Amino acid sequence: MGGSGCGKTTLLRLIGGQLRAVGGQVEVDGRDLGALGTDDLYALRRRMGMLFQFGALFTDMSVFENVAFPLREHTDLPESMLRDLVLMKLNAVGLRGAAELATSELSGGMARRVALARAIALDPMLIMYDEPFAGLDPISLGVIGQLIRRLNDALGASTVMVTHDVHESLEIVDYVYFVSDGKIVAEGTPEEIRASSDAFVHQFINAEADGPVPFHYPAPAFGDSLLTRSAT
Amino acid sequence: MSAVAAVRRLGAMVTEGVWRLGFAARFFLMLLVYSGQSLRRVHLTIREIYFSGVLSLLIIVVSGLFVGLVLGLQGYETLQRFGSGDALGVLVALSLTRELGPVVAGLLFASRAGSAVTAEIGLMKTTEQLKAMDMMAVNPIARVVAPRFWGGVIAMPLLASIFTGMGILGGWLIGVVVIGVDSGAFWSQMQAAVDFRYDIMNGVIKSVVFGVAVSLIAVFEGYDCHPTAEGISRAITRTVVSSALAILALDFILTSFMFRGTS
Repeated sequence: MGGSGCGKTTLLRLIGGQLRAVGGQVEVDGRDLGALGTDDLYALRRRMGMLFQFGALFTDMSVFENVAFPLREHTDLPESMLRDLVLMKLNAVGLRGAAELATSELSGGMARRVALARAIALDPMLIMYDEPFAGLDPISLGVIGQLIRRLNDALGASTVMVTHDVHESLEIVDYVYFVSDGKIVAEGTPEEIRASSDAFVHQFINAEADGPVPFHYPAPAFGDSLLTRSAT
Repeated sequence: MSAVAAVRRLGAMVTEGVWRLGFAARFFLMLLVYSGQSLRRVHLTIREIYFSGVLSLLIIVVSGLFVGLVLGLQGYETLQRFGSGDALGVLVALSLTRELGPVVAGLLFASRAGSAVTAEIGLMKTTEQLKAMDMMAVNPIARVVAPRFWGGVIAMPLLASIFTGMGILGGWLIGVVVIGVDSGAFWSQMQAAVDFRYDIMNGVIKSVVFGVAVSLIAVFEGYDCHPTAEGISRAITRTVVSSALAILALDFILTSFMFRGTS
C-alpha cells in the first residue's frame, strides 16, 4: 500500500520481470530475475498471473477467447477440455453466462473479473494485482475483494496486491507493507496496522491531508502564485 | 543565447533521430527473429492478410479503375497527335505495370491498411494489452507484430496486381469502348510490348519492396508510439507521411536500377 506515485506498480513490474532492477536483486521462486534470459523469464511467467489495473483484455476477442488465450498459447489441450477449463474459470468469477460477450459489452467490474479469470487460467503459483479496486462501485469492490481471497486460498497461490484502498484490502490480506518514496515505511498484519501509532500509517488509514505524506505537490506560497503570471 | 538554443535543439533532434533509427533497426531484427514462430501459425498471418488486403480491395479496385480511365483519356489525347492512337494499350499497360500500379497502390495501402495497423497496435499498447501478453509469456512481437508485418508484405503485391488489372480495364473501357480504338490493336500491341520478366516482374518486385517498407513503418510506429490518444494520432500521421516518402524515394532508386538506359 502507498500513495499514488510511491513505486507500488514499479515493484510489481520488477517482480514480473518487466523492469530490470538497476541495483539489488529480485528473486521469484528462488530465481534471480536479473540473471534470467528471455526463455527462462517466459518459463517463470507461465507460473505467474497478473491482473492489470484496467483489465487489459484483448479487445478483438470475446470473453471466452480472452480466458482461453493463455491456455491456447501454452498448452495443447483438446478443444473440449479447453472449453471446460475456461467455463470453470469464468464460473469462479461469476461470469460463465457472459462467455460469448464482446469485451466492449462489459462493465468495468465485469472486465476486471474476466481479467481475473484470465490471470488464473494456468493455475499460477504467484498472482499479482495492480490496483484491483480502482474505479469500482461498492458492490463490485466487495465481490472482487472476496473473490481475490477465495481464489488465493483455493489455488494455494501467493498473492501480491498493490492498492491504496485501505479498508477493503485490510479485510482480505495477511500482511501489509506501506511504501513511500520507494521505501518500506511500515509493515504488519492487518490488526497491527489498525492499532499502529505510526504517523504515516495513521495518516493513510484516516485519509488525513496533514502528515508525513504531503497532499500538495511542492509549489511556491499560494499568495505569491496569485500575484505572479506563471502557472504555479 | 538563441543560437545556442537552436544548436541544442538541432543536436537533440539528431540524437533522437539516430536513437529511433537504431531502435527501428533492432526492432526489425527482432521481427525477423520471431517471424519463424509467427509463420508457423499460418492462421494469424492469413487473418492479417484479410484485414490488410481484402478490406483494402474496394479502394484499390475503384482507384485502379479511375486511374485507368484517366490514363486512357490523357494517353489517347497525346498519342493521337502523333498518329499512334492504337498504341494506347501499350502506354496504359507499361505505365501501370512499371510505375502507377505499385506506387499508387502502395500509397493507398499505406493510407488504408498501414494507418489501421498503427492505430491497432498503438491502442493495444495504450490499453496495456501488449504488456498483458508479455506477462502471459507470449511475445507481442511474435504474436501481434510479425503476423501484421507479413500480412502486409503478402497483401501489397496482390493489391498492386489488382490495381494494375483494374487500370488496364479502365484504359480499355475509355480507349476501346468509348473512344473507339481498335480492340485487336489495343490488346495485341500490349501483348507484344509488355515483357513478363522485365516489366511485370520488376513491377512485382517494386510492390514487394513497398509492402516491406509500409508494413515495417506501420508496425514500428504503432509499437513505438506514446501510449496516449495524442501519441497514437501522431504515430498514424507519421506512418502515412513516412510511408509515402519511402515509397516515392524507393521507387526512384528501384527505377534507376531496373530501367536504366532503356527508355
